[in-house]
Order: sequence, then C-alpha cells, then structure tokens
Amino acid sequence: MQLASLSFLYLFLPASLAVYYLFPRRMRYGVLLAVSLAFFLLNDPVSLLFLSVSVTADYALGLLMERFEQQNRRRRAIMLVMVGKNLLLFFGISCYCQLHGMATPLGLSICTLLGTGYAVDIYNGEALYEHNWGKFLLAHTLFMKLPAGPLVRYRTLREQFLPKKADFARMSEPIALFIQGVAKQAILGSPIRQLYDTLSSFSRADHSVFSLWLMPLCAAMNLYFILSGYCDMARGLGGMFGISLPRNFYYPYQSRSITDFVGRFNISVTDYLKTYIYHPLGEDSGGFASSALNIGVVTLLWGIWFGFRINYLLWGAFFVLLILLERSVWGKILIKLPVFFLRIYTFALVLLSFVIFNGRSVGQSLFFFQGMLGLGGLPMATSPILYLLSQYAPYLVLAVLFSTSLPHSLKGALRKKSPAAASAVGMVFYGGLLFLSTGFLLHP
Amino acid sequence: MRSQKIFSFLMLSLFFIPAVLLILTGGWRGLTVSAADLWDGFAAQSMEESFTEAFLGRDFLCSVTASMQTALGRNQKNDCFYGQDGILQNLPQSDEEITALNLQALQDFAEKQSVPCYFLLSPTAAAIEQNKIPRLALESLFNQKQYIQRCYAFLSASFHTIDGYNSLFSHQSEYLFYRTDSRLTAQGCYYLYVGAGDKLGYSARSMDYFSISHPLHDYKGNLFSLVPYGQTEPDMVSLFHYQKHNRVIRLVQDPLGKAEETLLFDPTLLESGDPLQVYLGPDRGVTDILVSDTPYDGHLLVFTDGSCDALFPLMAIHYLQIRVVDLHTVTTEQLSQIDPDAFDQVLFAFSVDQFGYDIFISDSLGKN
Repeated sequence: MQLASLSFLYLFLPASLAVYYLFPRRMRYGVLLAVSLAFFLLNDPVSLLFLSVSVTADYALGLLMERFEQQNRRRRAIMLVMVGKNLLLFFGISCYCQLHGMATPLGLSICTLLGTGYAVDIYNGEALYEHNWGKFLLAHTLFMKLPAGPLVRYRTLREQFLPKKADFARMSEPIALFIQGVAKQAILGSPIRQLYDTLSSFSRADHSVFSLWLMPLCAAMNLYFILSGYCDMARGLGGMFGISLPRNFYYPYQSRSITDFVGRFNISVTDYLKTYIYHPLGEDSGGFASSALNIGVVTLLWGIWFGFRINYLLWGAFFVLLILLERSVWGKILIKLPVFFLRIYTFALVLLSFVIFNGRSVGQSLFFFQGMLGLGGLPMATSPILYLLSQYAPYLVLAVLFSTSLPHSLKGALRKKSPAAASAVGMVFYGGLLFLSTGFLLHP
Repeated sequence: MRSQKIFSFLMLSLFFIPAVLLILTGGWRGLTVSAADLWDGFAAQSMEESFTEAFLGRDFLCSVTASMQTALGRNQKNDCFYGQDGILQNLPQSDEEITALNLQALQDFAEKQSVPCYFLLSPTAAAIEQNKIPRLALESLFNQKQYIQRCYAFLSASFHTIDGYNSLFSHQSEYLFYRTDSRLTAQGCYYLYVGAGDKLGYSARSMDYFSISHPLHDYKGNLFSLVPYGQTEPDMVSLFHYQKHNRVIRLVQDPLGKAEETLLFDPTLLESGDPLQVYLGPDRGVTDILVSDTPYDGHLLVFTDGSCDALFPLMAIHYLQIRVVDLHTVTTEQLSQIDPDAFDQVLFAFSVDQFGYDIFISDSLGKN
C-alpha cells in the first residue's frame, strides 16, 4: 500500500486516525504501533518478521550495553556488533536485491540506519537506553517514514512518544502537507515519470539533442517530486498522529551553490551522514587534504544512497569535486555574483549531474554528454520528441514552478494580509488538490 | 482558534466522508484479504485493486481527470490516442519472430490442402484514420500498410491475398471502426465484404440490398477501459439484414458437438457483456452460418481472430454454408474434426494487431 493510494487515503488513514483518537492518551503509542505493524504486514510481511527480529536484537544489545556501564571495552564491542550487524544487513540485502532485480524490503534502510544511530548514540551517552520494547519497535517501524524517510535520530523520535492531548486546531496544517505530498506524486511526479520512462526507453538512434537535454530535467523533477512528495506525506501524517518529522528537501533547485544544494537535497540523509561520519572524522579541522577526504567520504555515501551503481558513485564524486572547487577555487567569486546567476549556475550543474545519474553505465552517460553537445551526429529534434513534449510540457512547466518557493511565498503573503481569507482559500485549494489527486490516482 | 478547529474538521472530513460513503454503499464487501495474499505481500495490492474498482464516482472522476489532462495537452494513454471522436490504439513494431511463425503456419497449411486459400489481413484504426492522430505522432506510428504488403509477398505463391487496406482507406471518413473498440464496425466489414468479392468470386451487393438497423447506441468497447475518457462518444452497433429473396440465415453454434441452432442477430446478446457477440453468437469456437432457399452451393471455411465478425453474415448470402473458426477459442479436438477438403474455399481473416503480436495462429494450426 503506497501512501499515495486510494485504499490508504480513504480507508487505512481514516480508520487509523479514528482508532488512534478513540483510545485514551496513554494507550495511543500502542495504537500507533499496531497501525504501523498493520501497514507493514499489508505491504511486506516477510520484512516485518525479519526486521522485528533485528530490532529486538538491537533492543536486547542496548540493554546488555547498559549492564556493562562501567566496562568500556565491552560496551564498545557491543556497539560495534550492533553497528556491524545493521550495516551488514543494509548493504548486504540492498546489494543482493539490486543484483537480483528485486525490490528492496520495505523499511530496510530506515530501520537499519536508525539502529546504527541508536547504537552510537547510547554508546556516546547522547541517548538514553530504551527499556520499552514497544516504543523501540515503534520508532523503527513508524509507518509514515517506512517508504522513503525522512531519516530521523532515535532520540528525536523517542521524545515524542509521550501522552499528548489531541490538538485539533493544529491538525489542518499537517493535513494540508499530506495532501500536498500526495499531489506532488500523483499530479506532477507520475506524469513526469512517464515522460522520463519513455525517453529512457529510446534507443540511441531514436534520441536527438533535444531529448538528451530533456532527460536530465525530467530526472531531476521526477526525483524531487517523488521523494519530496513522500517526505511531505510522512511529515503530514506524523503531524496528524502528533509526531513532528523534519523536512527532507528545502527547494534544492533554487540553491545558490552546489554546497548549498547538497545541504537542501535529501537533508535528513545529509544530517545523518554529518552526525555519524563527518563529525567523528573531524569535519574540516585538519587541513585541506583531510577536509577534502571527509567531504569526499560523506558526499560519496550521499550519492550511493540511491543504489549501488557505478553511476551513483560518480554522481557523488561529481558533487565532491564541485564542492571542493567551490571551497578552494571559485567560492569567493561566487558570493559576489547576483543571486539569479548563482541559481542558474547551480541548476545547470545539477542538471549535468543528472546526466551521470541517468546513465545505466559510464558509456551511456558519455553518449548522453556527447549527444547533448551535438557531437554524436544526432538531429536537433525529431517529431516523436516534439510530440512527447506537446503531451507533457504543461506538467514540466508546473513542476519547475512548484519546485521553487514561489507558491509558498504567495501563500505566506496572503496569510499575512488576511488570515481568514487564507484559511478559506486554503480549504478550497487543498480540497481541490485532493479531488484532482484522487482523479490522477484513478486515471494516471 | 475556533475557526482553525472548523478548518481542521473540514479538512479531516475530506478523508472521512468517502470512507463513510463507501461503508454505506457496501463497497467494502469486496475488500477481503486472503492469507495467501498476505503472506505473498500482495495484500495491499489486491486491496487497492478492489478498492479502486468499487470507488464511488469512479467514472465521473476519471472523466474529469481525463478532460483536464486533455486540456493540458495530453491525448495519449496506454498507447491509445484519445479524443471526442474516438480512441485509437497505436501499435508497437510487430514481433518479427511471431510474424514469421504465423506466416510459416499458414504456408504449411496451404501446402497440405488442395482447396484454394485466401488471406485477408486487415489494418487497425490507427492506420486508416490517421486524420484523427496528432501530426507530430504520425512519424512514430507502426507502418501497417508496409507490414501487410510484406506478409502478402511471403504468401503470394500459395494464397490469394485480399486487399483490405485500400478497401477501408478509400472510405476512411466513414464509420469503419468503433470509437471505443479495436474491432471493425458492421460498416467497416461491409467494405471488406465488397473488397473480397473479386477474389472470392462473388458479386458483392450494394448497400441498398440490406436493411440496416442500429439496435444499440451506447456501446463502450474494449478500449474504453484503457482510456475511460467520458467525452468519447459511445458506439452504435449496426446490423445488416439481407432483405431480398427471403433467404433464411441460421447460426449453428458448435456444429461438431452440441449443435445448438440460434437466430442470426439474436437481440438478447446485445445486453450481454460483449454485445458484438450478436454477429456470431456467444459460443465462439466453431460456428456455422447456414443459408436456406439459396441458389448458391458453395462452402467456405474461415479461420479468424474475432476482429471482423460482422463480415461473415454479409458473405453468407453468396454461400450455402460458412464455417467460422475462431482460433482464439477453438479447441484442439474441434480443430481435428474439421476437414478443409470438405470446403470449396478457405479464408484466413486476421487483424494486424493480432497477427503480428500473438502466436495463437501458429499454435492452433500447428496442432492441427
């Protein structure tokens, strides 16, 4: 069951909310656990069994670590076992699934990386040992973040599992956020995905210079609308159940530099890598070489978050190179340039990076680069490409517009001028958006 | 604070109202999840499918969305071009291996028989009604004319080929294909009937010889489910009744088995799930069209794919018997009982959208 599916929107979600708020406050985390397990069970029962065992092992090892509070070597050994087990599961299963063309089990990355973070945090004394297995399991299997994050630190989640009074007055904002996420996926993400898939299925002979420029734009928009759609839905659902989740994307395509872009794209993954890898490595305190190495390691991992493919590694390496160049070569020039130019500069480089991201091999990416520069003997444009563009151009224009902060600024301005009018317009807007999203889910 | 609560309540009701309506209308009854589905990880998928199927106001929502998508410039979905005047399925490039197997099966059949064999490969609407397809998309269309010519060239030594393409193309502005179905209308079949006359040796009757009735005006065919676009007009099902010489034309379903005789154009079939069964009846494997009080004594054996069923009742007026074998549904046992030598002519009538993509011809004839 996808979060953006009819059975979730009109069956699972209302039923879960009704049950959650019908129960007394002290029992709500139990209800949320039951709801999360039901979601997991309906989608991927084998993973549920398997990850429950892994999570229980982490819970038990955490308690064992607490028992050896005064014996640091034993504590470290337990921490390493927990980290090793989780990383082995994450990398091992992901690689196996990718090699065999299988879908990665639901929640694998979220559960294992949360477990890794928990192990490091309790070892460093940055989180309390968990004594409640139910709450520990809930933090790992919280249903809204299972499909695509955001990746949250254990202690951030744990603090929120306290009995709280339902605040209906604040419920509208998370609902709006959730609808926004559904619309991002259903109305914009899905058609752009169709266009991207069609372009990807072209043989070399079918391509033109124009189609090769169109592909990275589609890939960039597709990735943003699908992933940020998931994150908006997760944050919205979290809010409905009284849990605050961080944002994962902050208008990345209007970044003013590549360094800025990396900080705005997949933010929770960047933060996770910074917390558990970049900071322990010493950040950029050890001279240029050390700092370059640290940035390199973190950014490469940021790249292969999307899969274990040489192109994703190169995608990460491309960003490492640009970040280092910005830091040491042209960073000082950039800050003197107009914002508009900086945004164009960043977006152009990001689009080029998606040429690497799109390729199934290095050779294919090279072909894309050559073709984009008109070196492959390809025509500028062909009728099929122009026809495809005529079918999807409005979606692309809307996608570019909604990937910027302009709609949000307009909403803010209206709210400042007339809060009552903003609420009324918001109600009509989000009601219409849900209606349209439902239509697009039925008729993609 | 109060207005915010009202706003929240209204927003929540957006999700709760459809859920309550679903319960009230009994739509939840189909939402069963089997233990096998649960274990295999298909529970969510099967729930979503049954929920989508029973979704309240589904057709309305689909139609509104399709209209909006059309307004935004989209007129293609599931490889179908769509608009008010119809849904046209674009064919991918034909499968060369399947085509070769099907052609070889026909060749082998013809070499074994002494009766003259005829081959009619009819194009689909996408090839004939190109004026309904966006100009920029024309280049990417599969060239059916070239494909038909290639197949005809392969079989030229052993088959008499019938030019269905030009018979249809010369009347392209008429109602030849259903707007919501990939099959030929009765009128489209009429032009195939006229075009086949010279080769099969009959003198095709002009339209004046037929009384044409239109008993069904709201037919939504197999393409409508691929593109549930509300603004595409539903189709009209027409029947061509031969009105001269008081000939009686009867259908016998499964003549080699139960041999059930039915009326030609049984009106009750128009109410069935597939109203186009009205032409050849519901039991599609082997059907005989028998004609009484006719001066003709010819026997025609037809192997077909169900794409032009309305053609054979038209041809029947020139024969004593036409035996129609649908290769999709005929059984091996039924096929083994058919002796082609007992007929005067054998006609193979297929559509490009099946001949180039489905191995059923080679499979069925190979077993025979």
